[in-house]
Amino acid sequence: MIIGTVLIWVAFCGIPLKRLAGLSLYSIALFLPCFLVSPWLEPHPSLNGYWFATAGVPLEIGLRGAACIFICAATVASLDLAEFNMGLVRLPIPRAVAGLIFQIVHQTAMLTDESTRIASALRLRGMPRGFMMNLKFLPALPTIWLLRIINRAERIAAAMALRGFELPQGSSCEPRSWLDAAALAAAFLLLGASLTLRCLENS
Amino acid sequence: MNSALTYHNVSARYRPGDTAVIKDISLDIAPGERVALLGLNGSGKTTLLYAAVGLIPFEGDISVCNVPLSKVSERAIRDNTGFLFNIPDDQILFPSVVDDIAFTLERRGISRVEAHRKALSMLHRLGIEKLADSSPHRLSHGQIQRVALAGALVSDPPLLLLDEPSAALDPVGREELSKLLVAEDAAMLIATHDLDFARRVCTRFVVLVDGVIAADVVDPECVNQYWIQRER
Repeated sequence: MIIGTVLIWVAFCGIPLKRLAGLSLYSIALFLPCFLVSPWLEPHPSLNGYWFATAGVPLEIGLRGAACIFICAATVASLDLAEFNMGLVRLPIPRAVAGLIFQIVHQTAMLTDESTRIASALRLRGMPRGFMMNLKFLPALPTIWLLRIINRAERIAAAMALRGFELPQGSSCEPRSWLDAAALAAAFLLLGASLTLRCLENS
Repeated sequence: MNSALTYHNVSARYRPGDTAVIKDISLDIAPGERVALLGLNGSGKTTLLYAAVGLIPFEGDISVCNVPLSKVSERAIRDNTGFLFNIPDDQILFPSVVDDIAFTLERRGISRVEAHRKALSMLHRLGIEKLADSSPHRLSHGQIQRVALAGALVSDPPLLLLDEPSAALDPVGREELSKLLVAEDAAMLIATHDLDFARRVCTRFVVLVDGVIAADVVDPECVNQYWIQRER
């Protein structure tokens, strides 16, 4: 059911295949360590000692975790930054938190652009492609990428100070429509329903 | 005496113990006066602009609109100053062009609707109203330059500090920008390498060499001579 839901969600969000492959790799890298302890787990006696039974718990963790990653990433990918910002400021959370989250996402997008430009420049200047070449190049990254990012972060901090971008206090003053209220109610209803189902399953 | 910006014996360095980037600078800019700050790379032009809004520590005295710059007055002074960074990407903080420009007004207490109306009007003045709903990520360098400039101009500040405003503009854009700046009432200190642009906009020319003022003249021909000498 989890896989089916994720597939439908991802299909509706229209996330590109290249991104899907990247997310899959990221999920594997994140949850693979959970399986490393499987050989040392003792299976429940009722499972008759099947070796794969011990993988059940890490498999469930990995599956649910990956499902969360796919659903969040697909949802965010279907929004542009302006829509994301509008959604954030209409949530009943402190404006400071909304402002902070938005700036993290916004500046990450800027840094991603910058990284893409650096990668293009490197290719243009003749850096060969390929995994091994990338590995050889890794030690040089801190000097060309990290320092540039740090310098940029310093310049952005100066611009934010100059333009008076203090994180605003209090809750958002953005007007909310009945649609916003309905979306929030649906989200809380969904959370309630999933918690109830989990309680029923455990009892 | 009325003054838009005053430096009095100002020296500045980026870190304690470093050599001073600007040394013992004294300069007075009258309200409405447009001053070009010329100099070779590394001569201290950007540092002088940063010091005026307290972005780097300095020794000496700086006043903006006769208000001495201090930790207490810093916010008010920054609100009275339109600043254009030499890398304009860095000063765009919002996902759409109109939101970014309106922010300058909103944080001064102007309502969202009014701020957006004024932001659109400023975009119209700069001839980039079509970009209002665009994401800054998708704009060319020249377009970002104009958006950042719109953000600096929209609040009608009495002082404009512009770092290489013509750097990314095409000849038509440069011409339009010079006309726009000449029509502004604000005092300006414009750091630039573009002598032609400086001649069109400014009425006074200050040349920085190794962090000190080497020339402060009103005749652009003197600057030209000096510039050629330096390049040799």
